[in-house]
Amino acid sequence: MRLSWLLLSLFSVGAASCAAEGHYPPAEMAADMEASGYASGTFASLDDITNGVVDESARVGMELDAARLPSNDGARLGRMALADDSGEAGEVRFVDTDDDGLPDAPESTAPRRERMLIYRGNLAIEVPRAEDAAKAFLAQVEAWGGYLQSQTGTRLSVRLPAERFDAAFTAAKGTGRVLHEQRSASDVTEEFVDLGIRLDNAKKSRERLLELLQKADKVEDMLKIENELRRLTEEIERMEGRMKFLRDQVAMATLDIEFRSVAEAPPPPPHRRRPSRFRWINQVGAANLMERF
Amino acid sequence: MRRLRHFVAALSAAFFAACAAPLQLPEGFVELEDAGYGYRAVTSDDARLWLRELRDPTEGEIEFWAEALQRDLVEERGYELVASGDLQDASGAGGRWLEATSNVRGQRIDYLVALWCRKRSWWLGGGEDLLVAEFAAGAEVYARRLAQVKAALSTVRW
Repeated sequence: MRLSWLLLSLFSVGAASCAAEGHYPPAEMAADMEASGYASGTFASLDDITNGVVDESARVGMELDAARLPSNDGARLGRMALADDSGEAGEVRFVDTDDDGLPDAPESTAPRRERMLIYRGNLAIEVPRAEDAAKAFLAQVEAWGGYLQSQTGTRLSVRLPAERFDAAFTAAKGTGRVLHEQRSASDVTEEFVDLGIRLDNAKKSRERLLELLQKADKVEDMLKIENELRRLTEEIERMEGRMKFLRDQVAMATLDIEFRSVAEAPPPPPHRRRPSRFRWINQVGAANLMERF
Repeated sequence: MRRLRHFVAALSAAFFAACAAPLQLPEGFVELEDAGYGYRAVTSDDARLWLRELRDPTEGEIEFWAEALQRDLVEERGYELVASGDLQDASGAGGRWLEATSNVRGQRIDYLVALWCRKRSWWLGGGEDLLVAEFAAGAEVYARRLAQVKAALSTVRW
């Protein structure tokens, strides 16, 4: 009986993780979980935390650890574990199990968490010799620690350290006339933190399932546990992959740049020019500058 | 005697202010002799820079003048607009700039014009004083010089 309850609670934790990812458990399992009271409150997302669902001490604990985010990874964040060992369903507490020997930052002096931003940019530049400009720009990107991701003619897609993004943008713009310019920064801090928490919970669930597997004596129980283990492992790998991808995207900005060779002159206007009613406007213009200078 | 000294000092200051270049010339440009119609500078590869103070009896805001100029260049003269934006002179006064491509006797000429305006006092007849800074060159030369010219425009004094 006890084993069944334990199994049921573990399934509920795993299933909550699955539901948060958009994979919903079978209807009968969800019904069982609801009936048992384990389905709610066993999992806290970042939204829960910011919405005040989680108690204040837990939130502070999380912020302190998250403040060290840039130099750590999701596993570190994952140390903020759900304190569900007490077995009290519905209660969510975070504990900081940080064991790296570093003193925890005091609350008042805790550094503000850096945002995790993914920088992307897009440039089209008209230059006298597009091939030369592309080659020179690529050499500069490589000197900055970046690399070429793809190239089609004089259209390049480069990855470069995020801290060099502005410098690269400015350098590229200085090579000629800017025809198109666009850049963006996507904030993935929330997703990253949320992933870290869910990853940690999934790992803990897996550990407990492994313990249960050793204790299980019925074949039926063992099969159930192994199924759940397989699903959790896949889930963990998927979350780890996503976190790795996000870290890479944050560390290296992406810049798509096209160098275009100078084009021909535009066609002359189709109609005879009507002089402006403002005299000064008739006195300016490229023709005036080239012929009456 | 003292009054005369002050008058001479003021006159000298005005003279030197008038003689001083209205902007920090970009590298490679040399100033042309003053022929009485603005401040002109060229490069050895024939890029041209021309600053003039023009007047108009109509009073308008900078947005109005910039739009009127853009319409005339694009709709009447067939220029292809490349980009436009705001800028400031050395005193922080806001102006407008636009870049376009033009066809001058079959040859492509790239063109940048920057514009500032200020109202004239009623006792000077009213209307508007406009400072027009123009830069034009063949496409290759233009692309090479553009960044420096844009930087120099922020040093304009008038």
